[in-house]
Amino acid sequence: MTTKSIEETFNQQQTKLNIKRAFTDLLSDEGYLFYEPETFEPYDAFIRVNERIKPSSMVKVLDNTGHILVLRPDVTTTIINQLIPRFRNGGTIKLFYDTDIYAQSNGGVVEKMAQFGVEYLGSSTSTEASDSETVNLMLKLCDLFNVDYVVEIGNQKFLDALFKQMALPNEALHELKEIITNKNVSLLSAFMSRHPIKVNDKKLLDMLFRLEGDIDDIEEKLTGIRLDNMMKEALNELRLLRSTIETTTLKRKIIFDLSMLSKYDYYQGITFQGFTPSANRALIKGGRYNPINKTTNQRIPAIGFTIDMDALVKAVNQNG
Amino acid sequence: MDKGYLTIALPKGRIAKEAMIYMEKLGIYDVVKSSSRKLIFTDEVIKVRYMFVKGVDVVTYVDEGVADLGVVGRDIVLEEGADIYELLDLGFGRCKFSIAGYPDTDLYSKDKVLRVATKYPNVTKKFFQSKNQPIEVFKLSGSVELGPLVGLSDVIMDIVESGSTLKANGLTVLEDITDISARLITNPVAYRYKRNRIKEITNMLEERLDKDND
Repeated sequence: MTTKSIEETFNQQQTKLNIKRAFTDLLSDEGYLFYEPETFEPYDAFIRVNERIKPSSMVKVLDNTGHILVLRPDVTTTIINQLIPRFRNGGTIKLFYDTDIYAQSNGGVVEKMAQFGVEYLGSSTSTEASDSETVNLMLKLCDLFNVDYVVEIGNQKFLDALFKQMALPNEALHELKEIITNKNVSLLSAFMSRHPIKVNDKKLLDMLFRLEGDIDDIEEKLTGIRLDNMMKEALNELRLLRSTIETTTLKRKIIFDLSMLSKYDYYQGITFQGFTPSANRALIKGGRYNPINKTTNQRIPAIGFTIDMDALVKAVNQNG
Repeated sequence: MDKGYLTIALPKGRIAKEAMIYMEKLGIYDVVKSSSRKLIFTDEVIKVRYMFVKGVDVVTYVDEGVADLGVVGRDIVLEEGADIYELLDLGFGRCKFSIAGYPDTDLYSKDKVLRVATKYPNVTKKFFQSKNQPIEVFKLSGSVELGPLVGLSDVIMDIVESGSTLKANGLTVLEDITDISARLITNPVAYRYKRNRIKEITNMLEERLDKDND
């Protein structure tokens, strides 16, 4: 708990309320429905979806039968576990939520974070169209307020194609993902010297953290590298998405980055995260995750994002 | 975060001195006099601000966005486990993370709880967990070698440079865990917002490293 003056506390909460109202109005106008996610997740189900989340970072609760529950550390997993099994194939649901998530810091402090999120489940036309609708909606929400922000956009398909080609044993793949998530240059070169990696993959890994900027820059850097179909598809999807974003926004606020990798393993396509100077963590996180509907065993197209409300309130208040 | 300036957190002590020599070679460190007791120095010409903080706090300053870049030993990065990016292995401040104790100490008896004194409880717990060895950790903030000598612990887990302190106290390295050296770290926000300036500095440092290695 920080000690703020009572005026400051109410000022912040008023800003939060104003943001929520503006978001809710815009989203309702666009046909999005309000969704209230479950607070608790069975621990086992959560771990199955997210192998790389540190168990120590989750807040756990025991029920009286001895089952371990986690206080949801993110909402997307809740949607995958709660909503997707009941989803009718071929349908679409556009929803938004306004809720809290929980995490445990290294020092064992339980932290609550306010999140506002949007999900587009199913797709009425093509997944590319819903990618574009979702990313542009995210930009529209952020532009409601006079806030300085940038968004990195990547495509999980690109890295997944690389991982597939490399065919690493599970433990090594885990390690490599961790290294890429943390953009750890020195550990990456150490990793490459320890594992047998094909020349073409090595070239890609060597330049991975430089594969950012505009799509044209990225493709130029990739000349001479052999790309498989999935990688080409990943680049095409990004190019298509870029063509739907307004030029001024593109120039000022968007950076494409192929090395972007979330610590959440469920992403399948376009991914993005947004930053603002006044926050030390991501303001926006999102992407396409296409979860499997376990009742029909089919993948449901799904893309969504969350906005860190505390970070946004701070950014809005700072800009007066 | 001040937009105009690039803020670099440097640790006081051993790594600071080596970092200074480094920066001096690059010509990006003219304003700082290491003998001074001031904690913040600003180079107005290249718009870089240096802050001197305790080594273990470098990660905190960078993680919280107060500093854009930090120079810190990998031991501290491992212990703090923060969401930061590691941009460069600076190559100095080399040492090893090691387990040390009296010769012939059995580390992995499994049925017996091993008592470990350390400045790095998180790294220690994680390591022995991966080996399925139950341990009891005693967190100390200095002179860890005392642990086995006075019977507080069976072994210690610490960074070892030359091993002379160990030797002088009749202890020896039982197992090396990993190599440690100074790293250049940043946070995701600075990485995005000050990309060009950070690139400039890492490129300069990288070239310097290549020269040193030749």
